Amino acid sequence: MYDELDSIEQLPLGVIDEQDGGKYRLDRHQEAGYFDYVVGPHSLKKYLFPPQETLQQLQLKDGNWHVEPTGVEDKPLAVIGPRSCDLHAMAIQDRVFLEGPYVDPGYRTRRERLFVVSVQCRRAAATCFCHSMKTGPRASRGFDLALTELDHCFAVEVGSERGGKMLASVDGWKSCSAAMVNQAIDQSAQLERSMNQRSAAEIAPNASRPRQLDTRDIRDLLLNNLDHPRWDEVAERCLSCANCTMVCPTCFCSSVTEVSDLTGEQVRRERTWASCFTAEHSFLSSGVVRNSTTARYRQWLTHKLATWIDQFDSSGCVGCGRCITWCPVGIDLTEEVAAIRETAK
Amino acid sequence: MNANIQVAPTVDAANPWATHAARICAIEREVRDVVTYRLAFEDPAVAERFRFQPGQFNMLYLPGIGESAISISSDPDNPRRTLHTVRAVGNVTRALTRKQVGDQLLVRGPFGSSWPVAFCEGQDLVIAAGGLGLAPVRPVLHYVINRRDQFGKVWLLYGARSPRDLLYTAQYDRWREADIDVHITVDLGEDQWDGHVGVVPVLFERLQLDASPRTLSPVVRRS
Repeated sequence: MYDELDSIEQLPLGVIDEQDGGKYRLDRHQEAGYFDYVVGPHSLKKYLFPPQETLQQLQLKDGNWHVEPTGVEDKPLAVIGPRSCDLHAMAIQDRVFLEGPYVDPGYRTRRERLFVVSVQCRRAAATCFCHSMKTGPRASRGFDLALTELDHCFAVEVGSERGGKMLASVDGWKSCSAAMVNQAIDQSAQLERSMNQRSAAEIAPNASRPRQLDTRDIRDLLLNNLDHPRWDEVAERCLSCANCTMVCPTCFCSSVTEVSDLTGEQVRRERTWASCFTAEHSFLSSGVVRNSTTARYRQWLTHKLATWIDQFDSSGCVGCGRCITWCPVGIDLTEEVAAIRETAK
Repeated sequence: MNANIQVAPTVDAANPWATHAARICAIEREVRDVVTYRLAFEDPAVAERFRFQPGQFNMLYLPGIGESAISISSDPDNPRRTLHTVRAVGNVTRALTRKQVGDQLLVRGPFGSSWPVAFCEGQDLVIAAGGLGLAPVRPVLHYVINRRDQFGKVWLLYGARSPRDLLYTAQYDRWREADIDVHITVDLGEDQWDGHVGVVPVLFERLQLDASPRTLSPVVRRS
């Protein structure tokens, strides 16, 4: 998870995470470095598109409504630790909030003040499948600085002008030797190789099955199989709890609530994260459109992996695996897609 | 997005959440539960900037109650005279019915895509709508009538539940005068009704439209 740091001692040195469907455990590991955990439930989303935000404040004076400034927090913020999958997720949310016909002003302000110090993954959790989504494991863009943890030091890549200026203002660093650069690149390459190979490899007893997602023709596969019996099967297990959408770094739905004082003269408009797994998400004046868990799960997955491509020219999934880990019953979207593919029409 | 669809920018390009005060200038009762509000922005600069494309909607906001997406049902060539035809079905639209001429509400918009009217120029056009769905297509009729010679044959096929639910009845003659072939149908006729009975798709079949191959697929909106 992300939180404010006062000192480097607060970094989880020597801690790794073990993740699986509905399972997140932290363990100490002798050889683990500062950043050998992978991803927690938080992503950059909460800093750019906060879970709760006041959009507007109004006051009734002399029978007229006056809009009072709300002010977006515009203090510069640096986030240390986002992985390649999270940078891809941020690029997807940029498309939603900045690159469509309407720009979200709060998102834009927070995005401009965000300084990203990315970390190159050295290991993958069993739930990670960025190699399938072509979103990792190596971060190649979208960061100001990127850290690669080596044996006794960090190699730092500069990804932006701001990143370069920041690094230039820091004392005590030296240029990398060619060997260090090679080692840094090698580490990522090795991880990618092992992710590509691991699905073929034999799994040790009690170990988790590493995820992968076959994305060939995935849009047509899902949209041609909207009546597949698997949607009903997964709905038997799904609790419609919305956890997957809350931890997803690309899900962007929200709803706006009116908050008023007792006199009705002071009003705030609060935007909060919303989820397609709730009944109110599809409520129209004629009633709830997606009344069953089958319809809601299918809506989520087909949007994420299929119609997202029509809407934004990319998949809505970055392979971070959070929805698998934080699903209380361990539903695994890679397994659901594989099951549909196996018996597709 | 379809290149043929034009979208007018929101009044406040930098902030789609920004609301603008507007006054209710006139209220016209249409049919049961349905009322048309004429709104005018209070800020002259906002009124000056406001444009919309046929089919776009505004968010009408009553602070403390909420906002509702309502189609603009007036002439896009006269954006200062904006009409919204509203059926009272939810919290916001019901609260709106308690408003009177001179009351203030807040507006942001326009939003949404629009009918590809410019693309349709030079062609025959079938406009089909049902119930309250006539409200968002009325700007299309205005657009066509304002440049009638740019279009070939134009049909309006409109249906409502009963004769009492037919919207904008006072304007049908004016549309016919502008060479729009207006056909009306109702689901359930009444004693005085001697027109078509049945839903709009049945009207399509019954009329056997004498359309050229270049006639565009119909504009359909459900109520």
